[in-house]
Amino acid sequence: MRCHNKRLNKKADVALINVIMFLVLNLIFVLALFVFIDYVGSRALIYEQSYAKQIALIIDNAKPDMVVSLDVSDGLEVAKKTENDFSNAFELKQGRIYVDLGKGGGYSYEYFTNYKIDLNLQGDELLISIQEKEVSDENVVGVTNGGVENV
Amino acid sequence: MEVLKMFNRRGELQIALSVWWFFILFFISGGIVISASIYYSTDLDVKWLEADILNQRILDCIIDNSYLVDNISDENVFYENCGLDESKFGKGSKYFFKIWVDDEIVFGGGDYSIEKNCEIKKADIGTSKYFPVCSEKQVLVLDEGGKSVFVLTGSNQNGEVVPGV
Repeated sequence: MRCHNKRLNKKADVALINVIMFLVLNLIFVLALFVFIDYVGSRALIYEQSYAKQIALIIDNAKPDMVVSLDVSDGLEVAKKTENDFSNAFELKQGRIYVDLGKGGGYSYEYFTNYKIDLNLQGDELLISIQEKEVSDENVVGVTNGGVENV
Repeated sequence: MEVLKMFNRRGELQIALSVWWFFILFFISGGIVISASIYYSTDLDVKWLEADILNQRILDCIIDNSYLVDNISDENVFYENCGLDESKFGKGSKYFFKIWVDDEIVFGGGDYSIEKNCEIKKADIGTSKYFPVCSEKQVLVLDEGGKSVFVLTGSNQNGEVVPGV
């Protein structure tokens, strides 16, 4: 009788360990899935790409003395999960627009215009101002009443 | 003895259940991972828009009040007037443009291989998303009783993911 009970206890222990293992493995699986989804979802890559291309196309299509306002609230909302400082989120370097809304490197896209471009993030809006490039001395033909005539 | 038999059967059943359970779980999570990866790695292709913008921009700057402007073929004047960055239309450029006036090429710039690739794309012979996209526009101007101006532009820019520090 005692032997029979021992055997039963052993079997019960094994069954309990199996159940615990099963639950733990399930938990690990589900947790890994959630971590992956959270990681992928928090990456602002899709916004970075979309804003970089949008801004480059706006710049290419714009004419001097235009100011274009772009709503970037959706991207900033995602970016706020990992970053609070957006001073370098939108940058122009060597004819390329760089958008970095997270701790990754961001996304960059080239534009072909040679106008003078300024980006200014005000709240959730990005102001893109396009101006004629400053005239170099070689191109200046004459100065009249403070104005510059360009050929 | 009967009890042991029952335990074995239960054990087998449990193992079979857990194997199937993990099999199903693996497929469901695999599906989620694959679909999320596809969604977040989507490439927004705006090459056609870029080519179209460049085309319209060139037309706007070479035609003034339905007349062709002077010195279209002068490199310096052209880039200055059109507000285009000349350095972006040099060797290894991602852009291309060519201007014809009455079927005669008057000016062009950028990577000329884009033109050939666009012809392949137009013929639809096994192209991929990495092929350039072109835009064609033809207008009539009033110079000397009417001239036809044809502008072909192309873009092959894909954008770059900047690696994190």
